[in-house]
Amino acid sequence: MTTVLHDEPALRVSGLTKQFGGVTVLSAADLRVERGQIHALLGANGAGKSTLVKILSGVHPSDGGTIELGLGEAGKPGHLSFVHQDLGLVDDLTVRENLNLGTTVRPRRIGMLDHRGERIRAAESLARVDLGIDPETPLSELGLGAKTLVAVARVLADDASVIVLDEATAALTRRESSWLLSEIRKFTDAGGAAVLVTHRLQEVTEHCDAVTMLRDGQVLFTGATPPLHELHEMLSAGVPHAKAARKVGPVLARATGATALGVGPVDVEVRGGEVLGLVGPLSSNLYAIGHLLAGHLALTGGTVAISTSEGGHGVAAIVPEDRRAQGLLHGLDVRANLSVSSLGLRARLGFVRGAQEAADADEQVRLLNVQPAKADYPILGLSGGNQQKVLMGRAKLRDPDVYVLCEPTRGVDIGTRRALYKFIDDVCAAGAGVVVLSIDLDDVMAVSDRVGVVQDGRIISVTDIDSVSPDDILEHVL
Amino acid sequence: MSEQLVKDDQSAPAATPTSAADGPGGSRKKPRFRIEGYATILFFVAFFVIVTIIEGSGYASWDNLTLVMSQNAHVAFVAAAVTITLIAGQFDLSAGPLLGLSAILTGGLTSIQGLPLSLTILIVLVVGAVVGLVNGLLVTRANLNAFIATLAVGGAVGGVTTLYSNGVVIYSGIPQQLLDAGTYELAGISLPIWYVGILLVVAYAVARHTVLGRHWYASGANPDAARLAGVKVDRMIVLAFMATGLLASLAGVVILARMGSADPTLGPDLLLPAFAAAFLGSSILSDGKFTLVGTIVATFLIAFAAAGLDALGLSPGVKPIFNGAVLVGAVALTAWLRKRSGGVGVRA
Repeated sequence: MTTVLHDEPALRVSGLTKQFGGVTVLSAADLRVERGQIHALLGANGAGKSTLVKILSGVHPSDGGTIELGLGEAGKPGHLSFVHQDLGLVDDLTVRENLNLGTTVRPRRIGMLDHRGERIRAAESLARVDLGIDPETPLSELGLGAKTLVAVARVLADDASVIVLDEATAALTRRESSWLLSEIRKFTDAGGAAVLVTHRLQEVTEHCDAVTMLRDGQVLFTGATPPLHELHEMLSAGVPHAKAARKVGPVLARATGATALGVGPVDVEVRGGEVLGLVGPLSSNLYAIGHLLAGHLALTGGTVAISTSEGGHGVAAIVPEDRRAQGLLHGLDVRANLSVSSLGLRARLGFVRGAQEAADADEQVRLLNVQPAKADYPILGLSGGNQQKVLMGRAKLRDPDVYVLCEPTRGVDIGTRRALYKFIDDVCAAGAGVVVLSIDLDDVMAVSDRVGVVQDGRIISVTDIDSVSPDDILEHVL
Repeated sequence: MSEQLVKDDQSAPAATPTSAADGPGGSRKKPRFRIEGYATILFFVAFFVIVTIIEGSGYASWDNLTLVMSQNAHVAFVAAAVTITLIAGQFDLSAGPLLGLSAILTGGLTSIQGLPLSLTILIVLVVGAVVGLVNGLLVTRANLNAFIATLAVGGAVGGVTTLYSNGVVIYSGIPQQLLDAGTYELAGISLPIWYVGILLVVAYAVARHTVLGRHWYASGANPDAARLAGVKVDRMIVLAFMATGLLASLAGVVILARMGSADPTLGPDLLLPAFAAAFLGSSILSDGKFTLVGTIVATFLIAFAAAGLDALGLSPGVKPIFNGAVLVGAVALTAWLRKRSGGVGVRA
């Protein structure tokens, strides 16, 4: 499928098509990346960017279309390398060990690693990205910008002809991402090419030569980077922003000078009927604020109070960020996963009311359109999006006054995304307060009435969504 | 299309169901027809048939069946005891020694100290619950690995047994009431089997139909998730250890009633058949999920097979080897079933 071109461009994707369960997520998409280019791949969530990247990296097979690569350095067949947002580095190892992770081990004698040779190569790799650090430095001592450069150094050492930066700048400060992209520029100036998947339009206009924008799985625009305001218009026109009008009620959650290990002080109010979005890089300890508001962190100071709304009982329910590790009850079925939070509420003298439990579970399965629609299906047999729906249903069955949703729409397809947005609209309409936390600004902007920016475990500003643009938040605050 | 495939899931391997709501990146595994669970039962049945063919109908008789069940009633209690902690994701190695202590205490307090039987049983049950409490607190508060904590506590319990009994078997002065309770029959079935029947009903109800039991399952399935879902996981774990302690103590009373003597060396040897039963039970009746019913059924499967080994005239040393083989085989099968049903590996 991937063939090698003997002339320009560095990467040519033609007519790429992908369906998931009858839904077309990528429809005849083209992408042409020239040598020497930094090419931005843009689009709202669900537009098909991540599907395209996953096909390029081989995670998904495509249903149609071709991917062609130009020749790389010294006439060798080119290949793609990826730097993902999670970087794929190990904190407990040194920079040198990280650089050698996953690369071919070149033993000097039988079974013995060539440490001296490794050190020399590591120093060379670091020099290519102007990172003047000792290769023996533990990775954990580096900042996120430097770590990202280590990840880039690793793919450069791998002789890539095209580097794909998949949201790799999302967690960086503006200064760090400029540093990173100027190093990438050196790579493209030397004949390489780069694809930058990002939400940050400012860095696109500053660093990218060309732009391809996707909407609903199709290419909306491709060409030389247009001015910032045009990018904005194109992007926002693609986002259906039909948020339900909200009726804001009384304050339901109030944190006052709340601190816990690595978090706070947090001062914030969440009202019934509104969605407060919190956004920040992974390094900001964002999710810990969610756990703190939901009462799952031991406070070292201050207070977190949940008031009782109509029909509630003073409870905040959390949908955690790591579905598999923190959400799912492995080995149990959908029903047990839905009912775990509400068994006590509905019990009589400590006995579970089986009929009620089954009826509640069936109702959530139906309302959230969980597929397959069988309450006795093993939870791990469901797709990620359907598992997420089950966790949302679990929270709802708890009759909470406040929902704390960490990354509610991460890694789900557009159909599930719509179902989850509707869920949020519905619980707001019913008077509950909602906090949505995400490292992805789009995910937060799509549902929030107010947006707070999180840095170093604190909420440093909260703004009404109507009076702020994504770039205001990304470029001036992060 | 998807509905049709889903309906098929118990009868034949089929393609993964798809639907509009299924997105990218989801890993979906489909439950399939499980020959393996039946294979285990078939293995036991085949063994029973072979022994019957060699030894004649005496082995397969009703009398022999009830005798084996009666002789193993206490094993069913210990096996049920360790199953509760396994359900809650923990491990209790002190249940065996605790059975020994409770048998010695019941015999000693009534015959040597002259306490009334009812008070004695109450004391023994409290001791069992307290040992469970200590285990639970060591695991949840002191954050000790359950294996280490209960190994240490079990050792201490065994030590107390030796101190109290001086290592001497207690066989005289045991209240007739208790001996009757271990030997009488009701409707042609000896009382210890009835006790197991009661245990079965109560344990089933608690595990399946109470908030407590369901929270044990949740805590065992994923403690972090259970905590975030509002389950008081630490409290559930402590209560699970206490329930294990209670049942292990009851097992001691049952064995004393049936045998009429309390042997201070009794107990630790019962851990092997108990865990073998728990794991075998989890692999024959469900996809690697521990169930009290499965454990109790498996206890008697193993016991009847062991009786078959005796009937064949094999040396008593073969029995623990057999039990060990069953444990290893069952754990391997459980791990495999869980992996295939998409669950986590066996936490043990």
